[in-house]
Amino acid sequence: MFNFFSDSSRKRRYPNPNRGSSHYQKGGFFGMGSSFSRSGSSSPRRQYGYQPYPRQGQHYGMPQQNQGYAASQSGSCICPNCGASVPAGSKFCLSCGAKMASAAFCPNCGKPVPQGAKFCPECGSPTGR
Amino acid sequence: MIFFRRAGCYTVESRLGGGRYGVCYLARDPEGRRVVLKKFRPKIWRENSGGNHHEAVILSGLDHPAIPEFLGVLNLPRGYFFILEYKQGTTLKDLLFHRHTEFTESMILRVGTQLLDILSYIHSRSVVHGDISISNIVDDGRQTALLDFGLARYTGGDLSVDLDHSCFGNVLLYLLYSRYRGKKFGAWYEELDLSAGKTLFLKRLMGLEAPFCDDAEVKEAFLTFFSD
Repeated sequence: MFNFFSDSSRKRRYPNPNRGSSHYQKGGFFGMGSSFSRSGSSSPRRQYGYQPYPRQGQHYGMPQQNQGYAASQSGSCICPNCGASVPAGSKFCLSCGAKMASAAFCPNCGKPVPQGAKFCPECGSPTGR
Repeated sequence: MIFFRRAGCYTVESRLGGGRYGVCYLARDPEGRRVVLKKFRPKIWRENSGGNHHEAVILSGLDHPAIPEFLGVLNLPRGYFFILEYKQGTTLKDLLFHRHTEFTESMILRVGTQLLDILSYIHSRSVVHGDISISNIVDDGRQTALLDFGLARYTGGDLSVDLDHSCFGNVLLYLLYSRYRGKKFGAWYEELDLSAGKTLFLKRLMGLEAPFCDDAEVKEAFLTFFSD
């Protein structure tokens, strides 16, 4: 699987601590040192010819489709509208956009908790359910 | 340039900006309220297939007036969109490099304090923004807001809060340099005429000296050295 945060990319996200006016007073494309410099050609016309997004009826989160999220430790739930797998905590189904009533977060640490969980799997605090 | 005027029930008004992920548009919902439509680049969406859900989940769990609310998802044949609350204001990048705003001490104090309040909140919810920059901060003259949680993650994984502290220090340096008219000859700690306290504070943020332990320590030091 594509590692979005390789070691090198993590290091690159920390700003260089030794820069001066030649950097901070240059506002253009090359002066920002931001992710813009990493944007590549996306050839949009070729890519709009098919549907790269999960559609209703597809399971957004199934890894074998290489489209959704990887199964997280916090689990997921099923969208009652389209049946797609929705990551725990998301207020909306990421496939059809339906509002998810089951989204919940730990009142202590703020991380998402699985549907029906009485205790946060991260910090162990009661979820109040 | 906008290639479409409608996306679902939303009317697209203008292009707000773009990046590696895709493009953000200003749009209006059927009730006339302003929203942001964040349209993802198909290539990026596919390449980051294991992490696309992070922004949706993290924004779902945040509730702060200076953070855009996650309002929904549009999955259309013409593209995949997140619908986000629109935050009024101008990015610090535009203020610095297009309007050539000179940030006074009091302006830096206000923006810095409001940013630290936002950071304290998201860190208390176990969230690291991971991409704090002058492009992702908007200010309307009264309130600062933090945008773009596309690279945000929960703590305990790849990111820690010191990344946000470093990026916060980097933003402060942009603001401090808005009034700099001296020669270009070296690093910020050589060029800027800062007090010893401010220099140490920024060096600690940027990782050149012992880092801060937590947000409370950062805020206390910031108020101490930037209030005078």
